[in-house]
Amino acid sequence: MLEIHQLVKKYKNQTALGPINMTLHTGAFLGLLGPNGSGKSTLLRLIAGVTKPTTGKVSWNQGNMSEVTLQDIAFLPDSNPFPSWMRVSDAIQFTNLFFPDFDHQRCNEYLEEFDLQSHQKLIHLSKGNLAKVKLIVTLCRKAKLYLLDEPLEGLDISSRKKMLLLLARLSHDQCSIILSSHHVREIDQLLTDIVILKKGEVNLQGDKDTIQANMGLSIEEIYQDLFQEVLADDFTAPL
Amino acid sequence: MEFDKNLPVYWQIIEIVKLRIIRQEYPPGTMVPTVRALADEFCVTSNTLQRAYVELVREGYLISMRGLGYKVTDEKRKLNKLRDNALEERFEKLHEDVKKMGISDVELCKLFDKYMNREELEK
Repeated sequence: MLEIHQLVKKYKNQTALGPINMTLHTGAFLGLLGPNGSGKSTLLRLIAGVTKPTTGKVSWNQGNMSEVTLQDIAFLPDSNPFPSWMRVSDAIQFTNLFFPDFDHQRCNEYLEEFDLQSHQKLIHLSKGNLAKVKLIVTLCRKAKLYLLDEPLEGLDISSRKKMLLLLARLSHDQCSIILSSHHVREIDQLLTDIVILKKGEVNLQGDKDTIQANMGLSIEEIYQDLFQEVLADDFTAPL
Repeated sequence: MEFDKNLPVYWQIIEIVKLRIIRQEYPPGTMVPTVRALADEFCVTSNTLQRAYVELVREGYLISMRGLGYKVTDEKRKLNKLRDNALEERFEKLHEDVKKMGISDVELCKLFDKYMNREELEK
């Protein structure tokens, strides 16, 4: 179980994110939603332990985050974590070296399914194919918590559909998943929980079905209502 | 599978499984697909699917076979009730819609007969 308590990140006294409070149970699939710059990546980096919080705490199964607990977490950052000289096979070995939970068989199946060859150099891959490799390598870990920062960005429609199925399958093995996105529609049916961030603050959070029932709207409609306002604010702001 | 984004997904899965039981795609007394298999078919998490199955067990249409999965009940009365409830829901909806159009019950019966006859003729 992931627990986040009064988590705040400031840059030079300016609050970038928070305060965030949330609890995530095993089996939950949380959609972290918000437009660019709303703090999604910052929150994921804080949970992953890549960035240190200014105040507040992230705990995992009642303990503090440590190098041991970080072995339970598979983090897909929005940037490319692999040096560009690597081949696909190097990226796989690199991940396997740090994380013994890596599943080679699953990885080979996925590479084949997406028509990727392990001898290909990362630098020669298209943007979409590089995104696929990054995501596949992350999904092939048998982690307890997956933190996926816009995992479908740059993928074509048919690949996105296939990846959604792999994401659903991930949920079979007693884990929790946090996925950030600003495309609500395509991930809607996977989500069990929702956090909507607006300018670094939580605007709405909770169980997806409860939120929908209370507001009488789909998550996509709620999201659109929220961020059309943001657009309007931006247009009327003095230059 | 496209779900209605305004309704809970597990609830929509319950409705689909009920229909499959009614038309005996899942025959009485047989095992239904595993949670994983059906979660794959609908592209949802296993938690969501599990929730649907648990609800169907609670309503008495599925029986949990500890560790093995779930099977359809073979209680005739229960299965008839499932079909009757599904029909009643749809009749109710039709009745309401038609009433909103200002059509009386007697007229509805006549129109329904006429409609069914037309269906027969087309066959």
